[in-house]
Amino acid sequence: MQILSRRGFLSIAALLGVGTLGGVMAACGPAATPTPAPAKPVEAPKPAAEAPKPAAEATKPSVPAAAAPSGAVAPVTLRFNNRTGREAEIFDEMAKVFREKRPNIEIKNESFPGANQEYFQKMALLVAGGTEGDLVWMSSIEGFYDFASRNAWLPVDDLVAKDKVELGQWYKAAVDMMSVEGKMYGLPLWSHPSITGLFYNGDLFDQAKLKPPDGQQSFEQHAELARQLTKRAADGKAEVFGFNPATGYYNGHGQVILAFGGEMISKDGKQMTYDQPAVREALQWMADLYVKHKVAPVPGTDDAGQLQANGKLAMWASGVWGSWASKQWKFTNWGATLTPKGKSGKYGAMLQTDANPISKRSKNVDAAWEFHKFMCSEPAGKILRDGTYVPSSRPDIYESPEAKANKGLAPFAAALREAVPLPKPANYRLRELEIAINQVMGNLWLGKMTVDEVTKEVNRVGQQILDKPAGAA
Amino acid sequence: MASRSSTNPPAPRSQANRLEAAATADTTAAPGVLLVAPGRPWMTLRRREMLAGYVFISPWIVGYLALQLGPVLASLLLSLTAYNIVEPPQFVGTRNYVTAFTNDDLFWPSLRRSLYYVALDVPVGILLSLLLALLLNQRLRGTNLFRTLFFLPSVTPTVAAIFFWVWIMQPDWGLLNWTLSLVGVRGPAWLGSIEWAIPSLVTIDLWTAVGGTRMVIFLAGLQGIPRELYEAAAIDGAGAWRRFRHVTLPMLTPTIFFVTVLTVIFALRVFTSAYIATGGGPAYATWFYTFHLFKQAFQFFSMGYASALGWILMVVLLAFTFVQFRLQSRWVHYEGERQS
Repeated sequence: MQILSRRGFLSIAALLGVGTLGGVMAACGPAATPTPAPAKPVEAPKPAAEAPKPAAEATKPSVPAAAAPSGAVAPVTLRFNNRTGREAEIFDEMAKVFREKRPNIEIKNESFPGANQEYFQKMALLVAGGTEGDLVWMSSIEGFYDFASRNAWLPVDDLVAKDKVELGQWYKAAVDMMSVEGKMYGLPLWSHPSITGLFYNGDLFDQAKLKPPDGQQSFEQHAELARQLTKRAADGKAEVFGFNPATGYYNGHGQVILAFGGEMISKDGKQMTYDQPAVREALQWMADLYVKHKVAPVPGTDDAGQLQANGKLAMWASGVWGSWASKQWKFTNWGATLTPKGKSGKYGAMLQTDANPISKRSKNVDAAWEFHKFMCSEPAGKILRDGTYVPSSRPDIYESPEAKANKGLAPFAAALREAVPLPKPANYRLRELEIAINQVMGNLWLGKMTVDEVTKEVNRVGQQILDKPAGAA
Repeated sequence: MASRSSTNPPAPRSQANRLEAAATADTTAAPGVLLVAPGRPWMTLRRREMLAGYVFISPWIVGYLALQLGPVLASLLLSLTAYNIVEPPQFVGTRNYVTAFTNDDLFWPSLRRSLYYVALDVPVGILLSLLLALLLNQRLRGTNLFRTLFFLPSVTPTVAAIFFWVWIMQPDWGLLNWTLSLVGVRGPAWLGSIEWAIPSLVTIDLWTAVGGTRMVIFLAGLQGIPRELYEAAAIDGAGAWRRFRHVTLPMLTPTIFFVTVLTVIFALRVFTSAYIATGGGPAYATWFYTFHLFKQAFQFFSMGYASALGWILMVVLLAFTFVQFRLQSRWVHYEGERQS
């Protein structure tokens, strides 16, 4: 009998390679991500009576959440899913402070690595497998609404009513954002008014003998300032850029649209609105920065942090986390204010609020609720303000003397006062919509499409997503 | 098309039986050796070798069955469902496949982009790997050093290599455009340019891959070519080019074929560089097929649809491979085979 020929071996090897590849592709995903087992139907909510009943749970009316009485819950260990990095460290700090008041509630922080995408993949798989923690840190853009609509989180309306939690202690828009289809799925942990901050390099202003912006400038004045600050080599290439805007839908051009008086999406979340004159005007202003004035680096290619750190950027749009990055800058002469006010008379602030919803499967609802309340309280807000880059959802924190003394944080209080809730699609496909719009908008920033063309395309592509059924399928 | 058969045709059955019998004849007497029944022995040489072969590949087989075959079959079933991983899958028949071909704006463009990437990456990559292997096969002083240097990029962590290239290709202060500016050329935005983004990713892949496994396979193929053929060609007056053209290249065609099949498969899977360096942009310029699949599966959680995309890709890959196998008889020369 003939021994396997080289041709035969190569054939088998190549076919096995294809077969293996097919398997890998069919189960495509990050190497460490297991293929999820089919999800169990989400369990029905546990009746409140099943949870351990605290002996003296009643909280006095109008008493801040953090001041809840201690020792009311039987000893338990709470699992809290969150993200590695500064956030996990700050949650550790919170847990320590919380345990001083509630020694019988142990907090087990389960922190997972990865940027947004990887972290939320992990959370989706945990929820699918029924193994998420008692509390789960979630971003408003990523999965908070989608999972809420699928009954993954515990509605807290009854708990809020039972404890008579004063909802006025948080920004109203932030509280509003915690509700999905009439039910409240938590208290607002931290909020920011998206990209409404304008940071600048004072040295470059001094060199150009120009006055830094003060938050009252118009969009036209801002573009002119960017032109004056841009330095060019003999061949016309920019050596110092006047301004680096943010281009994203939720973090970037969406705020410019709102400032110009346009809508990012219809109020009911079912219609695209990029054909509105105000939207087109806003986008034209931004496109001119890239294509006409050439005062901004090509989007997606410049690490803004590198440009800032090396004094190659005069002004840049950022969020509340902007001053956190200042530790990397060589220059100390920097300042912060807000982006221009548009025709709407506003900065275009749009609130993004993250939360730590309680899992509907949690067997420790009372303990989880106590820690949940604490993380949204004023004492926890101070920890956030002093130790990380997004300080709570509370006006008493954002408007505190300490916040006002922080030059990178102080301007945002004004933006938060006017911030509207994040406009979300009715089918909760926030990230899908954002990614599609951002990709199409790239044509505008690169000068490949006009505003007319790009707005039509964004409307077409966006509407396809809005017309999909709720959630992914 | 002429069919081929071995130049060493299999021995006639009677001869083969005699050889097998000879190979096993004395085992009946040897202590500790498997005894065989009189007549036709069960544990023939061929069976022993086959058994040994299976034992050697058993770790892979076990791994494949345990870790890959299950997900593969599961994905086939999931491709017929709507499945968002949080709720149980719902059977939708072939709807996902119909959607892919008729109602997904990104399906055909992403497939085209992947094919464009393959068209750029595969020929250039194979050619450069072959050139490097030829250089290393010269057995000159310092070959080991060069082999290490060429191989080094392929062992660099992929993410680190991509970030490294993102900096090099940065349009305003990157090393590449700075170097071009020295000779009066104003470089494009590379990864930030719709036109240049895919060629830029191809460049990154070439840097990491040309000196890697592909080059080593070529080198092994080159070193497997009998020296006598070169000596005979030299005696016949063949120069370096003719020896390469008429000895090296034909003898290397099975290796080139093997490398081509695998490189096409790997190139069609392009994902990591787009995921890290460009996020599929700018303006969908690097939104490859596998990137589309990944987004559907792991960001939008349309797992059923993503599974369907995976199986469509499987069919595309099989088609590519089938065509290559059909065409191989036109250019692949197997040593030890002759035309009948």
